[in-house]
Amino acid sequence: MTAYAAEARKVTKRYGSFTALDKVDITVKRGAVYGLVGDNGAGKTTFLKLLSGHIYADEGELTLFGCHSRKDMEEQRRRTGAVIEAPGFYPQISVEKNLEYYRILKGVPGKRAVDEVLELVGLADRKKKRCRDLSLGMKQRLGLAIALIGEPELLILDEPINGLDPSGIIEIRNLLQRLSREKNITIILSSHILTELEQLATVYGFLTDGKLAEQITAEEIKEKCSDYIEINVSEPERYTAVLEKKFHTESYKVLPDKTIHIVNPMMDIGAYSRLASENRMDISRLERRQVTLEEYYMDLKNGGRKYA
Amino acid sequence: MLNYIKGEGYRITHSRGMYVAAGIASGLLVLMNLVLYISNQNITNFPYGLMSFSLNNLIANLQILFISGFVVAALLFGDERKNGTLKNVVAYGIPRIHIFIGKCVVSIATALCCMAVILVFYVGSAYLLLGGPAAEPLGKMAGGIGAAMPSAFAAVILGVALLTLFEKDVVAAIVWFAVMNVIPVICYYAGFKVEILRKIAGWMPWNIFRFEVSANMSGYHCLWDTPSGLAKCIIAGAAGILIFGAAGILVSRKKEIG
Repeated sequence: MTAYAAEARKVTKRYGSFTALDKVDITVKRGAVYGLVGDNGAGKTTFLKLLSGHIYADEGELTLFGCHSRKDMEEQRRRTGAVIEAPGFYPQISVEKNLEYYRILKGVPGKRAVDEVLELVGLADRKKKRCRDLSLGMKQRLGLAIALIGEPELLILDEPINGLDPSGIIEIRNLLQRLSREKNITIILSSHILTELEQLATVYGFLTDGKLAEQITAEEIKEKCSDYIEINVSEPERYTAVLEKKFHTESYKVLPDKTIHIVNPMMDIGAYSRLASENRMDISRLERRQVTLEEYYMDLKNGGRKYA
Repeated sequence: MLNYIKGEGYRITHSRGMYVAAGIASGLLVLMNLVLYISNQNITNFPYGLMSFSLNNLIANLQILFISGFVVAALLFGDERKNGTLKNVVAYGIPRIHIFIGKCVVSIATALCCMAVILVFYVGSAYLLLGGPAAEPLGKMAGGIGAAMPSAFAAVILGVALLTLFEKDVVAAIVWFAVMNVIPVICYYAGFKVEILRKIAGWMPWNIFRFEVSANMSGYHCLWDTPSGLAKCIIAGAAGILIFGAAGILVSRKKEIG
């Protein structure tokens, strides 16, 4: 059994003269939550469409659960569920009938499967409603339910929280976390909302202009972007001198606006505050911060020097 | 493929679309017979209040079965791109060829069911409301439908292939009409000047059922009444099934879902 749910080796996809994906290498381990990050047109949806079989690669090799021939990939897709762009359903029939249609189509035994996914995505009380009457958020949940029919081992989700209200976002996030944790489902998802992705993904693939800029685990990002204390004091030069003398640390940076970043702080935040007051310096700002995914992504887009 | 067909069967039977379409078509035909009946009751020496006149409308225009077949396919699958349902089917790992063949099977089965219902109302209302002999027009109609069936299947298959190829239904409809009607009619008339076109046009289903059949008040001349004529109808239809089927398989294999 292969350790990877999905792999892309030197995959290229062109639309006419436009190269949507350019020799992309992506590996998604089983059980991972893989977050695809990138601007509009970076190639995220193209990659997800390739995995789902909607489009074909011009070059390179795609693999699903270790299989890469077209016929085998189609076979392996029975183990996947996908929501690409807008969720697909028949608007004139009810939620329940849509799911029953997909259950039969996928060959999933037992009508209970429909009730189970309805329960899972929080649509059980709306199962008799016609799909065209659903709100955007409910449609998004229905799309997820359609993808989840038949207990897939790999979920491919393109912007799954688009259109959801704040409580919907939390519910879907919790659901995805639960699916990953309890059922060990591999999830590949793209999102523009990096703060959300940050709470879900265990691995990131950063795409810029169709190229994979970096593939990195959440832990590696954490290691690379260690947390820091940001402090604004009245006399930064004197403060850093005291800092070196008292705390024997030289891992700090003084930014042009005189803000001091103390990287990998050894003491708790109060110690740095006391250090200023004991030496009669005024503090206008003091906070402990960690580099966010947004900051990391923006840095990567700008050449990736800061957290390299 | 069986699951796909079963799934589509579930969806069609649980949606209103086909019931409404069959209902409207049946209603219009009953209305036609009703108009003939009322005219017959109110106009002295009205010559058309006969069952044969009513049924001749179909016998002389069996191409209507081709158009109906395309309409059924378009009603069933025309919106699948807009609704985004095709991408789910593909993402579920159902091979594109199976999807294409499944669609053809489902469209043909649905069209046959609709036709059966419509014919019951059409023939039933004609029988109940109109006079004149019933056996001959009924026999001609049954024979004609049988003879046109392979070509009607081909028309449905072409429709499914074009609906797969083109993003917009209207484009598929125009191309379908061009292939089924415009090109055969052009070939037919060009055939008066060019011998090879005359031969080709003679094997095109639209021309067979338009120009080689006559059904009117003075009698019938139906190609399918002779064994060789019936064979021509069936061979032309079978060739259409093979050609359009192969084209459809090719298109469905290559076509990407945008």
